[in-house]
Formats: sequence, structure tokens, C-alpha cells
Amino acid sequence: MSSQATASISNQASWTRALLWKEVRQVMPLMLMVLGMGFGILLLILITASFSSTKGLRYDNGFWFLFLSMPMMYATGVGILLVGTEKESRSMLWMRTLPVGAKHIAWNKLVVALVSLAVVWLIALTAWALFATALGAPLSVVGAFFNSRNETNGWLLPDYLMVSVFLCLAGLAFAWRFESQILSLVLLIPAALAIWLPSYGISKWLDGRGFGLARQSFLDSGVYLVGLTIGSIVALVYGWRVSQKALSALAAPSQASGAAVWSPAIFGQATAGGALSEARLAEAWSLWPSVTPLSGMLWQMIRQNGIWWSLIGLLSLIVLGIGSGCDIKGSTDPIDEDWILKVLFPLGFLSGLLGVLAFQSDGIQQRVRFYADRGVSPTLLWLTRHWIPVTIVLVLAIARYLSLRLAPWMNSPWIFIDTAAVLGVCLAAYIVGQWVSQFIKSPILSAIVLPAVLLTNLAYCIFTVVAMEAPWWLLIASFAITAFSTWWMMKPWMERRIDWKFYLQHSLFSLAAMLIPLIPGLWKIWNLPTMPSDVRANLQQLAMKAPSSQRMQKYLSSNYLTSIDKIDQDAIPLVLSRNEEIREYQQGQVLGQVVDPEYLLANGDPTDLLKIYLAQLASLQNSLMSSQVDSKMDMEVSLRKYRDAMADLPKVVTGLRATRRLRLCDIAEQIELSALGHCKHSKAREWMGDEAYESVARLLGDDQARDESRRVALATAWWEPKQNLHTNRPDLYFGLDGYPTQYFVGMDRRNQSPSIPSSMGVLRGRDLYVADLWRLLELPTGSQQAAAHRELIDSRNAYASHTPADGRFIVLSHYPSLSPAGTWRGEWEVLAKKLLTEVNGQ
Amino acid sequence: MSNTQKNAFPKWLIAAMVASCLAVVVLGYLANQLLAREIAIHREQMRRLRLVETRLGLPPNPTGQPSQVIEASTNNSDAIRRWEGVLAQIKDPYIAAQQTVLAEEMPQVLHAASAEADIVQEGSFDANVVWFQFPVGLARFTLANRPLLDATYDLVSQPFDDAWLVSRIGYEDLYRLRQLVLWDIANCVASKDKERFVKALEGYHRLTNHFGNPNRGNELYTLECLLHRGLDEKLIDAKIVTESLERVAKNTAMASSFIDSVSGDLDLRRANLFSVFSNQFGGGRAFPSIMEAAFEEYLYRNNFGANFVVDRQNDLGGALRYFTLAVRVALLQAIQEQGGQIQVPKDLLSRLQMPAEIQGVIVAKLNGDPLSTLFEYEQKEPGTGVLKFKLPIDISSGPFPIRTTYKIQAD
Repeated sequence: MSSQATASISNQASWTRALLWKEVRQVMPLMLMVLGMGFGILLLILITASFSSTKGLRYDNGFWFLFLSMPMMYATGVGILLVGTEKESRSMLWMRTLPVGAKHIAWNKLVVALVSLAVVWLIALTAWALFATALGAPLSVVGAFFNSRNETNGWLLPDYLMVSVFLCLAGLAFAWRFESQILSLVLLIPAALAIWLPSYGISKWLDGRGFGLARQSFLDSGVYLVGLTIGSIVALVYGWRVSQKALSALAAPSQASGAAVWSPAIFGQATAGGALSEARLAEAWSLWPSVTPLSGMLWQMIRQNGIWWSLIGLLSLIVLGIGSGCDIKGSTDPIDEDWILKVLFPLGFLSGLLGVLAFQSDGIQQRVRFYADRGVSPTLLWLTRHWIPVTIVLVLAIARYLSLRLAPWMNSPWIFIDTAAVLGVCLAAYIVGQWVSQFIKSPILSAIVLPAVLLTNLAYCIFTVVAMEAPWWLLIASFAITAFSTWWMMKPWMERRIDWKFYLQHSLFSLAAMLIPLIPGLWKIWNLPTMPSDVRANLQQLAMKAPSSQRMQKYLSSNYLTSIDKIDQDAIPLVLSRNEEIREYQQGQVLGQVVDPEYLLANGDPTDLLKIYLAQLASLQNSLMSSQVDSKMDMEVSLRKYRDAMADLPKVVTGLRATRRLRLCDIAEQIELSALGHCKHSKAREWMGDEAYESVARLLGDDQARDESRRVALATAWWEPKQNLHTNRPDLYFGLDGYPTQYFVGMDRRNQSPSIPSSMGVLRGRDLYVADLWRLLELPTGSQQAAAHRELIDSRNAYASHTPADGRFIVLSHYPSLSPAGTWRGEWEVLAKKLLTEVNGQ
Repeated sequence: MSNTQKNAFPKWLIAAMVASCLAVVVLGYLANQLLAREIAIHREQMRRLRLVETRLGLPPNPTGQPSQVIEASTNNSDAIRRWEGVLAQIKDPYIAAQQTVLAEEMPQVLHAASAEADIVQEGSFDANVVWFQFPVGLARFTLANRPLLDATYDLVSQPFDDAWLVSRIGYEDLYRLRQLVLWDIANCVASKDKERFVKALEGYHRLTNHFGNPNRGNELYTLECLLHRGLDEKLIDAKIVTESLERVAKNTAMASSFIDSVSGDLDLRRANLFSVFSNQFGGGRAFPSIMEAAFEEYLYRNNFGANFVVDRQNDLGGALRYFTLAVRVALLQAIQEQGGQIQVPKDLLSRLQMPAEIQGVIVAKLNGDPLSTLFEYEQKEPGTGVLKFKLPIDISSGPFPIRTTYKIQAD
């Protein structure tokens, strides 16, 4: 091989590398933007989920679409971006001056488009697999990318892959063919429909021909896959041909189409007739006696965007026509899902497109410099760019109003809300669109990323309202700032001073717009109270003294049977007998065994055992009362049992207190409360005997010992789950010895949403609940402060029973208590002290 | 010079300006209307919430001292302690478990032999519930709870005017207690214990009288069936049944008037529901009209709209059971008074004691036919005959069945 040839090859290789690098740099902003937005939305979801649910984020099939949207969005834009940027910056002409063949240029673009698409797919799929696995989704779901019982749904993945390849190749072909990149973008819709509709038609035709559900599903995917493959091949071949044609014909326009007015605007290749017409119009315009700058700029705007506006207006009217059948009010939900999908989403997207057009035409080939060089007011330019599109949005809102008014089934009060919502969403989308067209220098890139930006904005709005409790009207301020920012930045934009300062200023405005709706939520978080440090220290010190007793299975639990087999009639008497036997067994055992706290711990729900215990005490008391009336009744046995039980009662209570378990201490207090009722009977002393009576009275009157056990139990219930957070179930952490804690300080407990501030409040609620209970114990028994503090605690506790333990009528609640310390500082303690005073006085 | 040159401001520009101005004016007008409407709805919602606060809120107790009623109730300390004991015993999980099993409905037994016309006509008293099908189980249960039942009968037989105590006893406890009493009556039928039947019946009525009538459906059906059974087994006479029916009617009327007094004020009821709903819906963060529409949906879905007016017209089964008892005792009383020679339906209808409300429910289903079309009495000999009911719905099966044919014999 000669040295010349070697040099040529080396030269060609270096050109190729440089060209490839150029293409990669061209697609990089789109790739970063698409991935950034996808992962940004994911981050918002993760933040919201981590605060709104104690169980964290759960796997949902919907997440797959978030990851899928990244390559899809990239595929939509990459082809158009690669060619459109060259056309926009006129760099294609320069490239043709280089010793690089047309085939080489087109081939490079094709390779970069497909390889970069593969990279985006790889990132999205890897991220999806990691994400889904981290959420505990089974591997089959991650593998098939669908949680479906139907295995054939796995074929949807090749379909999605092929859709992206088709969009990429078709976009590339259209971008080579047409001058207007917006047109190329829009034409992707009919192109995609041209594939999808026949495939759908064939699937429908095949449907019901007895293939079976699994095979039919397989066929549906297969038909679509074949359609997409054919479409991709056609797009590839067509794109290649037009690319070669376009690259070889850069010198002179060869197409001689009709003299339609819209032709030059779309194709950019002015026909002779079109150019003539344009020249005449411009000449006529310049001959006007006084052409104001305002009318001049409006004229230019209408000339440049008239067709697009008409097209968007027409599409909007079609959307309004289709959407006139549904309104904001849903039949099952407060907001109609159809209304969102058929009216809000399309109209929002079209309004966003209107917004993108606001500055796009001025950005193409830096036309806006014409005005900047002539000292045109940026404000005036800004107003003229928005006047007509905003009017179109307003007219659309009126059209929506009229279409609803004309519908006979429409409930008139809802028409206002519907119209206002449509107008609000359209204006918001428009503002976002015009911001995109100014912020992103490349008009093509701005049009491509518009859907992603719109979706990100939507996600952020939902995040602020739902997760950060932003009032909806604050979003108006947020969008107003975005609109204001484009007005403020008009001057540097017109002068094309699009540097880091430009982006910094725009970013600051965006930051302000993003932060404003967060202010109420952040303010709420800032003002959330915390547990006082002295209380924390005391609790820790108490809790660390000794651990709570561990549960031991010494006793066998015997639960009553309530479920019967109605068909097996022989089993029913057995169930009834079994329950009677359990009762008889318990009558002989419970009063004696309950002295051991392990007995309560071993028997499932200790509340049931408490009920049995109190029922048996009451039953014995009842026998004694009855024997007072009926002298024939033998009271000896009952009296003996009653005395024994009451003599054991202090042991039962102190045993339960010694467990340091809050729930068992509460049960101990219920027993004390019941004992107080027994002691208040006029014959109590006689029945119990002096010793037992005094022993019970001393127990009831010793409020210091009771308070000490309360403090220890409270500290233990608060501290131990914190220590075992990593080993135990996390949900235990949020309760207090099995009691759920929903405690709201500084918040309306009735009005809780799954927002971040509320969730943080709930998370702190446990500490605050404990601190409030601790403070309650510091207040003197029977004082008004204690009563007021008790009421305060109940008002903050979602599970408060509001049944005062006043000691006048002592009845255990039928339902299990969901809140701890229900008896603390109840009026019964005063009565118990009084009882002790009476006993001591006698 | 072209037309455009005559005018410095082109026509399309004027049209665009006019269009945008018009759009702003029209939307401004619409926004004004929207705001006016939202403000009106918001005011109405606030009015409802205030109404609930003022009408249903607890009266203030500025002294913080226990009220006079509470002090009064503590005077009879031993009675209070006894009530505590009864309520502690009724909470025994044993009672809840056995009641759950005994109240279970059994599958409807299809009697192959009952294809014969006259057996079907007669109906049966095969209640398809466990407590009826397994009398031994029922007997063990009621006997095990006899001290509790006796204490209850004793307590309710004493003078009782303590509204405070009534307010402190929970619905669930009362339900269990009343259920226990009804099964005590049922056990008396099985054991033919006449004395206890009357005592338990009295206890039931007094419980109902003291604590209100909580359940106008199943509980009354059970009682009416048991009264029929008591008459069948001659455990009670027509006089006791008549008294019982009067007491059922009186208690039902009391319950109705209570419900009427609450539901009569529809505005208050609606306001109260709105208060509950607004807390669930998210307070004042929603658009007033969206909240209002969601509230309407909430009323519709929970069928609160229909419940605004107490629907007493659907309890035909209860009314017919009452009617059959009333006819039966009227017939017995007529035979006793007239020595067996009676004119049916004249003598019978003149004695028929039925509240207008219950009568209205039945008449509404008869399309103008008189009540006499619902029964016929075939006199065999003086003082003896067969009473047959032809009722518009079948109440001779299920968990609360009554017979449709009764042999009447004067004592």
C-alpha cells in the first residue's frame, strides 16, 4: 500500500472520528435532558413515597412506563435533532466543503442515532431492573417488564423496542426531507398511525377466529412487530435516499412545487412564485404610509406561525368537539378521568406547542437579531409574540364554555369550573412552552423536549399540591414568575447573549417559581415541634435501667370457637360444648393464674383475659349480692373465692407493673379501676375482709408507686423499639408497645393528607405524644391543669376514646383500647386517694 | 395602490385586537360569575358547619365540675355497682363467642315431604338458626348465665330514672344483654317454664323501656315469634300478649318519634353529614363547588338521601308478624268474652289493636282490600276453630318464622 493511500485512510479515519464526536455532542443535550427528566420525576415519587407511607414505596406496574418514556422520548427527537441542527446552523453546507462523502455523513448520523438510542435503552432498562428488584418485584416481572399472568405480554418489549427504532428512523427521514423540523416532528404522528392502524385492523380481523387468548395476544404483538419492522425498513430506505438527495442538492433548490402560500413556510425551499409573492407582499408593506413597529412585528409573527396556529387551532377545536361529551365531574370520582385524558392532556399539549412557537421562529437562524440591532423594545417584542397565541387560548376557553353550554346534559354550575380549569391548564402549558422556547437555544431541541418538560411540570405541580400541601392558587404565582422571567430575559435573548449569565438568571427565576409553592409546606415542617431534651434524657435514663420482661410461653392459650361449619350439623353442638368447657375451665383457673403476669402475656390478647378476670370478679360479687336478697343461697363458696381473689388483686397489679410493659400497666390500671368499684360497694369491707380491703385500698391510694410504674413503662415503650429498629419490624417503631400512635401537634388531626409535612408531623408525633404523657405525670392528681392537659392529649390523639375514667361508673370499654394511658390522671385517682384516707381514718 | 395601503392598521390586525379584547371581556364576565357562585357555595358550606357547631356541639360547662345528674346517680351506689357487675359479665368473651355461634343462620332445609299442599299451607316453626335447632346448647348457655340474667331482671324491676346511667351504657353491651334475655325466653319455651317466661318477657320490655329501642328489625321479629310460641305452648295468655304488643308499639312509637325528631330537621342532618364529609374530604382546600359535588356523590353513594326520611314503609314482615299476633289474641279474647259464638271478621276487627303505623304498612300493600282478606277463621264447634292467614309475603320460613295456620281453642 502506498504512503499516499495510507495517509488518505488515516485522514479519513480522523475525519470519521471527528464527525462522530460532533454527532455525539449534538445528541448529548437531548439524552441528558430525557434521562434527567425521567429520573427527576422518579426522585419526586421517591421523596413523596418515603414520607407519605411508613411502608415506603411499593412496586407498581405504572413505574415501568416512566422508564419506558425515556427511550421513547429520545427516539422521537434524536433523528430530527441530528439533521435539524445542521440545517438550522447551516453547517451542512460547510460539511459539504470537506472531503467527506454524502454517504459518510448520512451513515454517521444513522449510526449515532441508533447507538445512542441503544445506550438510552440500556440505561433505562438497567435502572428499571434495579429499581423493580429493589422494590421487591419478582424477577419474572423484571425480566418480562410486565407483571402479568399472561406470558405472551413479554412480547410487548420487542414491540416497544421496535417502536423506538421506527420513531428514530422516521424522524431522521422526515428531517432530511423537510426544512421545517416542527413539521418533521408533527409528521411522526400520522406515520406512527400509518403503522398502528393497519396492525390494529389486522389484529381485530384475526380476533375471534378461535386462536385462543394466549395465541391471540401473541398474534397481536407479532402483527404490530411486523408492521413496525416494515415501517422501519421503509423509513430507513426512504431516509437514505432523501439524505443523499438533500446532501447532493445543497447547491440549488431543485424542487418546483406549486405557489401555495404555506409551501415556503413548511419546506423552506422558496419556489419562484412563492418568492415573488413574498417579495410583493414585503414591498407593499414597506409602501404603507406608516408601518408601526407593533403591526410590523405582528405581521411577521402571523406570517411565520399562521399555519401552525391554524393547525393547532383546528386540532384544538377537534379536541373540544370530542371532549364536549365529558366534563370535569366524574361519575365515580370527583374529577372525571376521561375529562383529564380527552380534554386537559391534549389541550395542554397543544397550548404548550403554541408556547414553543412564541419564540421559536425568532430563534431560527437568529432572526431576532434583526430587531435587536434596530433597538426594538424587548417588551414590545414580547407582547407581540404572545398576543395572538394567548388570544387563541382565551378563545379556546370560550369555545369550551359554549360547547358545554350547548350540551343538554351538562350541569350548568360545573361549566364554570370546567372552563376555568381548561383555561388554567392551557395558560400554564403555554407559559411552560414559551419558557422552553426561550431557555433552550436550539428551536428544534425546545420542540422535542417540550412534552417531557410539560410532564415534568405536571409532576411537580402534583408534588407541590399533594406532597407539600401547596394551595392550588399558589401555582398561579409560580407560573406568573415563569412568564415574567421570559419578559425579563428578552433583552439578552434578543441580543443572543446566551451564556452562563443568561442560564443563571433564568435558573434563578425557575428556582423562585419552584420554591414559592413549597413555602407553606416548608414553613409547616420548620414549625414542627420536637421532644424537649430534658424529657428525652429522663426517658432514656429510665428505660436503660432495666429491660422489660420477655414473653415466655408457659401457659397454653385456649380461645373460644366462633366459627362453625353450618353444613356439618354434628359439629355445631361440639363447638357449643367446647366453649362451655373452656368457660368452666377458666372459672376454676383464671382467678388463681392471673397472679402471674406471664399468664396474661402468654394468652394472645391480654384484653380478653382482663375481660374474663373482671367478669369473674363481678360474677362473684353478683352472687354475694344475690345472696343478700335470697337467703336460701349459699354464699360460703362465693365469699371464700371472692376474698381470695381480692386478696390476690394487689399482687396481680404489682406483677403487671413489674413487667414494665405499657400495655400491661394499662391493664393493671383497669384492674385497679374495677377494684375501686368493688371497694365502693357498701358491703365491700364485709365481703373482702378487713385485711384484703385495706390492702386493696393501700394499693389504690399509692399514687407515687403507680406514677413510677407509669414512667418506667412509658420510657421503655418509647426507647426499646428505637434500639431494635434494625432487627425488629419497622412498623413497631411507630407505635408504643403495640398501640398505634397518630398524634398531631400543631395540625388538625381530622384533616390529614398523605403529604410530606403531615407525614413528618406524624413521625414526630410519637415523641411528642410521649413527651405530653410525661408532662401529664408531672401535674398533680385531680388538678385542673391535669384535666386540661388530658383533654389536650385527647384532642391530639387520633385514637383517643374520650371516655373519662371518672371512677363513678366503672365499665370497661367494649372495644379494645387503641391509645395508651387512658386512665392516667383520671378523676378515679382522687377517689382512690379518698378511699385510702377513709381506711386510714378508721 | 392596493386596499391595504389605504389603512395603516390592517383589517386582520383590528380583527385580532377585537377578538382578543372580546375574549378578555367574555372570560372576565365568566370569571366574575364563577367567583360569585363559588363564594355563595362557600358561604352556604360555612353556614352548615356553624349550624352543626351551635346545634350539635356540647353545651359548655364553665365550672368544670361534674354535673348534677352525675352526683344524683351516685346516690344509689350499690345499684350502680351492680350495673357495673352486669356489664362486666356481659363483656366476658365467652358470651360473645357463644352468641356468635347461636345466632348463626343455618342453610334452609328443604322438606321433601312438605310438597303436600296442607303442610306448606300450615308453615312451620323451624327457625333455621342455631339457637332453635340446638336447644340443648341454648339451655346450657342460658343456665350458665342465669345469675347474670336474674341480676338484670332484678335491676330493671327497680325504679329507674337515671338518664346519666342510660347514656353511659354502650349499645354493644345492651345488644348482648337483650339477646341473652330473648334466648332466655326461647329456652323457657323449650323447657315449658311458664313463670320464667313471664319474668324474662317483663325484663325484656323493661330493658327496652329504660334504654330505648335499638333494633326494630330482627329483635322484634324474634320477640313476636316467641310470643306466638308462648301462646302455642300456653305459657302465656292473650292478656300478656296484648300487653306485650302494646309495649312493643309504644316503644316503637317512641323510637320513631326520636328518629323523627332527628331526621325531621333535614337541614341539620344534612349539615351534620357535611361536617363529617368535609373532614374526610380535606377541609377547605378544595374548590367549594367541587367539594359540594363530591358531597352530593357521597350522599348518593351512602344512600343518605333516602335516609333523610325514615322509611317505615318497607317493614312489611315485621308488621305482618305483629298483625298475626294481634289477630290471634283478638280472636281468643272474642271467644272468651262471647262464649265461643263469634262473628268473623266483625267481632275480630273491632277488637284488633294495632298502631296506625303498622296498619298503614299492611294496608299499603293490599291495594285497597280490607284487612279481613288476610285471614279466615273456620269455626269447628263453639270455642274451637282454625285460623288461617293468607299473607302477601311468606313469613313462615327463615330465621324468624311463624305458622300460617293456628288451632284456636278457648281455655
